Amino acid sequence: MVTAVTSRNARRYAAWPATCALLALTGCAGQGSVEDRPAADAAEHFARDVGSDPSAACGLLAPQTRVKLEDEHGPCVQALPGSKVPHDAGSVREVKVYGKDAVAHLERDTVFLARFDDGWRVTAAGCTPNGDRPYDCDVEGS
Amino acid sequence: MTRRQGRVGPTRPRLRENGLSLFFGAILLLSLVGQAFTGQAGYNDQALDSGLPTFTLVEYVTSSQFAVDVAENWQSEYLQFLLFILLTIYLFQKGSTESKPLDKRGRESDEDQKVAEHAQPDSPAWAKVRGWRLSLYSHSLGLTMGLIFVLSWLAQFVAGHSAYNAEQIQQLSDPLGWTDYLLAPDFWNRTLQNWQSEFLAVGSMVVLSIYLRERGSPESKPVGEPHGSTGSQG
Repeated sequence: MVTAVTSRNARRYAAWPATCALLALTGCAGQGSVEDRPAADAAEHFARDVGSDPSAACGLLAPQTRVKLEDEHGPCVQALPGSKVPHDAGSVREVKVYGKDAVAHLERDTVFLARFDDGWRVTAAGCTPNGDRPYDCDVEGS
Repeated sequence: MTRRQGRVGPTRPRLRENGLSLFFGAILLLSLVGQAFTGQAGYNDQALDSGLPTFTLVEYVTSSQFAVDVAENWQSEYLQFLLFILLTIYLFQKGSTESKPLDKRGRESDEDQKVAEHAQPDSPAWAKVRGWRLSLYSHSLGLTMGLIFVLSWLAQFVAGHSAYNAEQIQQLSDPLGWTDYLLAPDFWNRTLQNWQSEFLAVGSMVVLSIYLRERGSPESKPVGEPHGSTGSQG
């Protein structure tokens, strides 16, 4: 359940230049993406399942992220709950979607996602801010 | 024989009369298609390397990544022509085909411009009568180029913001807001790298046309025209 989804921007696609310009001129540029909700749902499901249903949470990891986790720490269903990813990160406070990429700020975690053919998948979780540098993420694909 | 001529007759003159615009329209489309395919391939190569989702061709040509690459080039082209159109009213380059003769500075007289009572029978309708239509039509080329420039630059900003933020997220960083992106190196680097190439091209044309010739081209002086001759075309 998404309690609050702030969509400060985010269009799925910027479409043609002229369309973008017209969108911006008409004030539509700040409207949220139709993908805000699906991305936020995936982040919340993942956050909820890490502790209660690791198998489901592992199913929400992006392929490369899961491979890396298993390469380094063994089977996902054990490695994921044993990682620093919070077991109940709470609900999404803000989600930002740009094309096939999204970041969701939950109450106790920040989760990065990408939209694959079968839906939104978590590319990185257990992330803490690192100033102007990229987040430090305990589980990530690259 | 006669019937055959009747069939091809009307088409060929039309092609001949519009060859330049048709040719450039065609190579524009071909270039855009090529850009779409190569851009998609490049994006997908990087996405696969990073374990991220790829784009279909349709997804790519409707993506902010494609839009910003197109728009950043369009805006600079229209800026180039806008500046060229406006600056050549007041600035000269002695000997260049791209400059007016040195005694024609400014907006010129109504007689020179063939407007109002100086209009010809086949002059454009809005050039024949004084009033807002004549004022608007007198600046219609600059206004249109300027409008397309502004819209293209705006499109570059909007699409660039989205494309940049997608990349930020892929690199596990926070996306930027509109104001931050307006000040971001990405926006200005995309802008300025295109501007400098356009300014170089125009400057080169202005200067090289003083001394060099291309026989038969209206962009060149006649081959035997003196270097100091300004505003003449071959």
